[in-house]
Amino acid sequence: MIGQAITVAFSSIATQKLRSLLTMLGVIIGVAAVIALVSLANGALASTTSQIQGLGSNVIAVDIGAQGFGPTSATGTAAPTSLTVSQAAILVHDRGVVGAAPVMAGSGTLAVGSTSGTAGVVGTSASYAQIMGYRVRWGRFLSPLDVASGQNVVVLGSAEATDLFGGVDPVGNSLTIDGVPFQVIGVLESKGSTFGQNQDSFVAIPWTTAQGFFGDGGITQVYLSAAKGTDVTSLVNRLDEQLLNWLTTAEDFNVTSQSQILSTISSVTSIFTTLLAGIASISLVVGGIGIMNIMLVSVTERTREIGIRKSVGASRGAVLLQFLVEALVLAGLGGLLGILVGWSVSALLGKIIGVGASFSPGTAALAFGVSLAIGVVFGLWPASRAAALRPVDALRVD
Amino acid sequence: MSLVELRDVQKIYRMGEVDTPALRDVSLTIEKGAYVAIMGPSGSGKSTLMHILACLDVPSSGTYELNGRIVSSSTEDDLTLVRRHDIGIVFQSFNLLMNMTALENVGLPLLYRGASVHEQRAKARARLEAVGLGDHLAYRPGQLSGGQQQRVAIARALVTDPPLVLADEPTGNLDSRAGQEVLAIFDAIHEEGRTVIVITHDLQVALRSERIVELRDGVIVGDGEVAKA
Repeated sequence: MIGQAITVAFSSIATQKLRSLLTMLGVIIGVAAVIALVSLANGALASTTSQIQGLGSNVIAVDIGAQGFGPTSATGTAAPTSLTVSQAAILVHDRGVVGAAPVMAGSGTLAVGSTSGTAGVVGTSASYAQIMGYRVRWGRFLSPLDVASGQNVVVLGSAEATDLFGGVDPVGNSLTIDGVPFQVIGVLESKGSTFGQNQDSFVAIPWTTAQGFFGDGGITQVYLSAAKGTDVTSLVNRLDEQLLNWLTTAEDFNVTSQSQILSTISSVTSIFTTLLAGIASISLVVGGIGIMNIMLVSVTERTREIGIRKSVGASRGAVLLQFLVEALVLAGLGGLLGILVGWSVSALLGKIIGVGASFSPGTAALAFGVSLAIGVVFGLWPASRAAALRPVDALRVD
Repeated sequence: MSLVELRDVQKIYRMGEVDTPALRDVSLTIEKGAYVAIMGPSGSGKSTLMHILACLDVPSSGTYELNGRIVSSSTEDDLTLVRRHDIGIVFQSFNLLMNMTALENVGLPLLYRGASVHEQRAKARARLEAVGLGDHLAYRPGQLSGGQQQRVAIARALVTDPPLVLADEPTGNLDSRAGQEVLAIFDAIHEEGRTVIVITHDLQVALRSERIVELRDGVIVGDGEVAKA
């Protein structure tokens, strides 16, 4: 009986192609909007997440005089805006810390022959590359020996290497930073940018060497790598406590773990996704009302058919089922088309705005389920009106 | 043994404030295997009687016993079961579903009885062959002549093997030749031992039956055997 109802539904939809398409349009648009929005939001979240994870695993960033991962800047208060080398050494002396890289950040004029330019100079230790997730393209990164002996060696970010030496391997060449000669020992692989900040446009030198440029107490950031299985939250709390001993207020520094950033971003994204999907789903409701409207028209138009079916023995249940299935087929077809449209739109938009849309089958299944539910909800009333028709009245209609 | 037994059946339509009686105190007994014509001019209440006999409507008062069962006080759901099992109806305007083939139209009552597709097809084909439409199985009503459509409708009425066959002006929309063909089929149905009730205003049609019941203004005014030559 259900199989027959489905056949009847499809043939009645097929005979009214334009009307059926217009009826489904509301559901198509609604489902497409929800699918496109959710796919794009998921895609954006996934690419942001992978960028942050690219910073390195279990990384905790300690920023002095600045908030978050942003560029270091003075707070304008009398509070210290950096740590001394011994303070940094005390800070990272914790059983939960397996690696630490201090950062003395500044800028300098780099020159090779007649080519010159200004770049960020990061004074740091040998652990920096590993903690921050940089890979070496040519040569090597700073070694502990370079740091211990304060060598004048430099590792170039990929953007600086290209600016100064073109595309060729510069290892072994020399350059000057603010007139001081340095030997190039390595070039990093490109990491692209995070939050619009280019991660490849800097050079790294041993922090011991950087002390000559920035003086003692120039440590503005410390990157820590937490040991596997460490309770990151309590480690962050211990770091906070230690820093409060040296700095007056909590605004003067910021301790952020990678997982905190990830959870903040994902919660913000999910709020926006829910909000936008909620707005889009309004059109699903409108689509449902469209289906109800057409089903009511269809019941009126087919009153005689209902009468004939009842006169040859169709029960109220059979008539109800027939019209309900028709509404369900309309809504279900609309849902499927909506998923296709939404998927194409999100793939297209993703290309345009540069976010890889992540199409999740779960969302598609949910959207399809919601369309079917709309078919039932908005099809029930017209179907029950059809079922309630008295055969003698229904047959009288021409 | 009587198949149809109407006792003091009344049907009153309420038109605004006024009650309009369509049938008043109609009592009628029809034996199994009978061939009865119910005659009367328009407005005589014969359509109302037909609807009640076909279990498409229920009387306002009185009882209707069909095949040993009182159906006059049945619910709509029970009437559906009676229509499904005990009655085959042939309408003046054929009442076929236009987007279905002849075979599908004839199989429809079996579908609602829960028959398999195979059984529907086999029985519908046999019935269509019996009314001479074996080579029109895949035609839709729009592709058939009036007489052919009415023969499809007759096949549909008979496909469930009902004890009672009701026909409401079965020749009313047909030319005389097609009408004669349809009436010949009714004769044959009767010959098979089935009970046939034909509602008509046409004396030529009524004279094919064994018994004529005449209705006027909702009352039976005549009831007699047809003398066969």
